[in-house]
Amino acid sequence: MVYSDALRDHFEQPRHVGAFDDGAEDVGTGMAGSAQTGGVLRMQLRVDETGVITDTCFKAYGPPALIAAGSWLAETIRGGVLEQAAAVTHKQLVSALSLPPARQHCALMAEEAIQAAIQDYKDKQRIHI
Amino acid sequence: MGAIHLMPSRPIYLDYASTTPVDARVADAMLPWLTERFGNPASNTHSYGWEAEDAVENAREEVARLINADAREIVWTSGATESNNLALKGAAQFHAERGRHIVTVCTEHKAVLDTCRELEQQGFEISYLPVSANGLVDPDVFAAALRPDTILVSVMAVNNEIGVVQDIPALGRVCKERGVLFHVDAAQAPGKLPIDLAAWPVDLLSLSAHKVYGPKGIGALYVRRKPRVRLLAQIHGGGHEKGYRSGTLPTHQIVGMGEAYRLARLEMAGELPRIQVLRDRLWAGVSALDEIHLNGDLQRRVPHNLNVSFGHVEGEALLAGLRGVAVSSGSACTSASQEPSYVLRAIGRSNELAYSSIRFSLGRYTTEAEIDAVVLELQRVVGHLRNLSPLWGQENRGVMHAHGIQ
Repeated sequence: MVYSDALRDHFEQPRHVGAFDDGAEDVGTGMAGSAQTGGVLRMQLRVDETGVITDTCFKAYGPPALIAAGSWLAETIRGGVLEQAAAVTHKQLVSALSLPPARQHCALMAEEAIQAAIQDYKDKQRIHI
Repeated sequence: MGAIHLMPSRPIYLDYASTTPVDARVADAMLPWLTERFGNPASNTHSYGWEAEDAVENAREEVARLINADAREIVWTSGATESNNLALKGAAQFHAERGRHIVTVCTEHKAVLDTCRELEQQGFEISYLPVSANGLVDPDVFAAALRPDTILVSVMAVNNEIGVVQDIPALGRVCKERGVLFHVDAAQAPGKLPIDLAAWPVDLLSLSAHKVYGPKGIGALYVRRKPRVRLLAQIHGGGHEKGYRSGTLPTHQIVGMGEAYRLARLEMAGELPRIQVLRDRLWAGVSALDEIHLNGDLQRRVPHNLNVSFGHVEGEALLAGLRGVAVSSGSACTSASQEPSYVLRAIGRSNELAYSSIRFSLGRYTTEAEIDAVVLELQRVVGHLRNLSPLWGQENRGVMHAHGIQ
């Protein structure tokens, strides 16, 4: 499989690898996939009082395309607001990383995981209010 | 000596089971037969032909010597794949009146398995025997598979993927008792373990040159004379090689195979311990990581091979992340789909572990420095990928269950 430069870069030097305390009230956590399906992605974001995503991190088990998707997404949504993160689509990911058809499901997983993280954060805010 | 390891910009080569570089001494021996001594060995009217014929017969003698056979029992072919085709189709078709049942093993090379599939199309019935978790054929299962209408058995000496060595003499004795022809695909064997056709009850044996520092495109089939084994030729046109295999003999290729086999015979005793030490060093480095699974029996295996599955590391990421090392993986990648190795599945590996496996195969030019560099790189990649994974380590407790896909 041929990897684009962007994909290889994010695979070999992934940005924002790590884990936040998923119990923290300013953290949203979302996952996609399972060990059985051969790919798992966890996206986390930390949001301040003004709705700005101040920090992101991810972990991934899967092919280079999935790791690259997590890294690209974690980097892209940083510093933006939740609405901007919610607007990122799998098509942007496919384009940014030049994902071949056989690996486009990794972009779908990344979109699922970030949507889940945003929802998780919002659910926590509703509880607090 | 080959100079691969002196070129730092090229990956470290640990894929000797796939192919080997031609030894410089072999290349030197071959060259004159291309430009100067170019005669056709079948030209018996002039010295160009006579000297080429002499060279062919000397090489035939060298091949026979390595396997302790008679030179008259060596038939030149284009490689082990052709030898397998000639042995299986040739024997099956010749003996089809006696019976149509053939026994082989599910872990054989595609050159045998695909030929067997073709024979099924021609009306033969094939039994593909399973192997144990260590990759070896159970002798009782083997004996029970032979029937009155079995005419041929094919078992490889050394498995190309996991390096295990079958008990050829024991299996051969069973075949002999039952009057069944015994073919052995020995493509991976020369130079890696002693082959003795005076002692082994084997009727047909396939040989290759490019697995033992000879050129690609040349091989041989051993065909026992006593008792004589009969085959139907598969390639016609001139009746070369006593009618077994027509076609002008490529003198330069044959000289290369002869020289490669001569060197293997002289150097095997010294090479095997050296390679065993290197392979054990690689295994020590790899097995220090967690969740490492060895594929195939560690004892009944050639010293050159190490096939390992890496747990909790995704296969494509592992191979893509491994920098500067040339190895083979446990899957055959086609454009859209990946198939896990059928050999690894046969020994009981899950799909996931089959995908996450690497075959390391060492050779004549492998150095200790290369092994150490590969171990370091493996530690780096495996550590990096496991660190990346939400399924590995402490902090994922609770996260997996609390949050799922919306």
